[in-house]
Amino acid sequence: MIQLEHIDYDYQEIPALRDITYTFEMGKCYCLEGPNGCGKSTLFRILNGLAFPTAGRYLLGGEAITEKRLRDDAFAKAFHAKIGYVFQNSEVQLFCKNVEDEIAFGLFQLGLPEDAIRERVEKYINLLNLAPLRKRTPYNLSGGEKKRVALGAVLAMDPPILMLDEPLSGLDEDGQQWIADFIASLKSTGKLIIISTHNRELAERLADVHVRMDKAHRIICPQNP
Amino acid sequence: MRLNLKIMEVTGRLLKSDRENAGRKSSPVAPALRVGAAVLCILLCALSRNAVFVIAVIAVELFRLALMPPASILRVMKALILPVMFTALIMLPAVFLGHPRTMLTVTMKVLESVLVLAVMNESLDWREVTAAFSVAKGMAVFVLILDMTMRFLMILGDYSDKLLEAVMLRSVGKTNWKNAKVDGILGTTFLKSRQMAEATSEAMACRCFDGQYRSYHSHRFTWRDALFLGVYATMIALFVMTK
Repeated sequence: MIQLEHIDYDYQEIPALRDITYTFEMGKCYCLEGPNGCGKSTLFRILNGLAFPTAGRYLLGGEAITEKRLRDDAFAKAFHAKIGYVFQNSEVQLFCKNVEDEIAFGLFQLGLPEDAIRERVEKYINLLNLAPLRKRTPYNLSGGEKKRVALGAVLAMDPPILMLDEPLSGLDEDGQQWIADFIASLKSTGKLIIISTHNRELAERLADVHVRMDKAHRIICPQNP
Repeated sequence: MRLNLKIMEVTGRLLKSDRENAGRKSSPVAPALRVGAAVLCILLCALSRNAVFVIAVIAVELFRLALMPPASILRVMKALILPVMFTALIMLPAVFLGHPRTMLTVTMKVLESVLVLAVMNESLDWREVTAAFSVAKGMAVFVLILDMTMRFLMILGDYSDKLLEAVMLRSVGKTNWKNAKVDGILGTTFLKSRQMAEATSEAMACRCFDGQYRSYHSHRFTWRDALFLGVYATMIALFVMTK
């Protein structure tokens, strides 16, 4: 469970988030909606420990996530293993020499044994239809293929929380349909899924809860519980 | 300016090679074995004082070359001509001084070294070559950095190429501002590179990166690897016997 308590965030005195108090519960799919610049990406950065609130508290499973605690490598590793984050721009997220290496990267970091890594790599390569691309370099792939690789790389680590920043951006119709179907299939896994999107259709289809933000960088709907 | 153009030329070549090799099947023999064998061949030939060994290596490499497609053979031959001719020319005075064998030996050694490298270059992708080094413990993280550097060079090369195209499309006739715009393109590319580097570092942190890296090798030892090893074991034996 993720709890946000009166979170504020400023970019050099320019407000990006204001008084965000919200609880994200496990097993639900939340769609974060709102206009450009309302703070969705900033909220994602905070939830992933990439930025830290200027005020307020962020708790994951009851534990406070602070800059100081994340400086501890063991804590940071355990924290990041719990949250899978698929970036809006997959290009920056893919840095290994080929697709299978990309999927295996996080698994090696988790210290899994070789056989388990091999098994999981094969599982996600098949699940995401990546078999013909397995030896290809990620940056030579199409947008949809890159997105699938990024999803595979994150999901292979089996995080209980999954965050997707604009998962359909830059994809053609078929690609969008494929990704939407795939995310829908993930809903039955009991993971907490948070999706940031402008796509109403996707939000209507997937969201258990619509979380709307406004230009004043606040959550307006549903009201803070 | 010239340096920038040179960098863009190199990244352009890498991009072209990447696009051409996108659908290419990976090497059936483990790249690490092939790189190791190539280095060993060059080393042994340099140490060899007997032409038999050098000729044997050249024969094996020419046999492998003969099995390649015509376009690859042409590229390898092109790579060979200049260094071999140059060495022969440099060594030509040795013939007049009464040491014709010296000229022949050195030229053959150069031919062998360039041939081994050119055949390897033709049949291995550059990523397979870098991946070969990641087999060694502790080297994998350096290979990851090298691969990432190459990847960024290509992405940014592509990005600056698109910016240049945009400038070109907006330019009509001879103007001075086109040269001035190059600075702007470099500046924008620099800022983009910083943003991308930061985002990649964050993506790595999100996937629990702690500074340690192991490369994933799905390649398992096959009969092809065994055959390849067999050929090179024979060559080492030949080197020892002819010494």
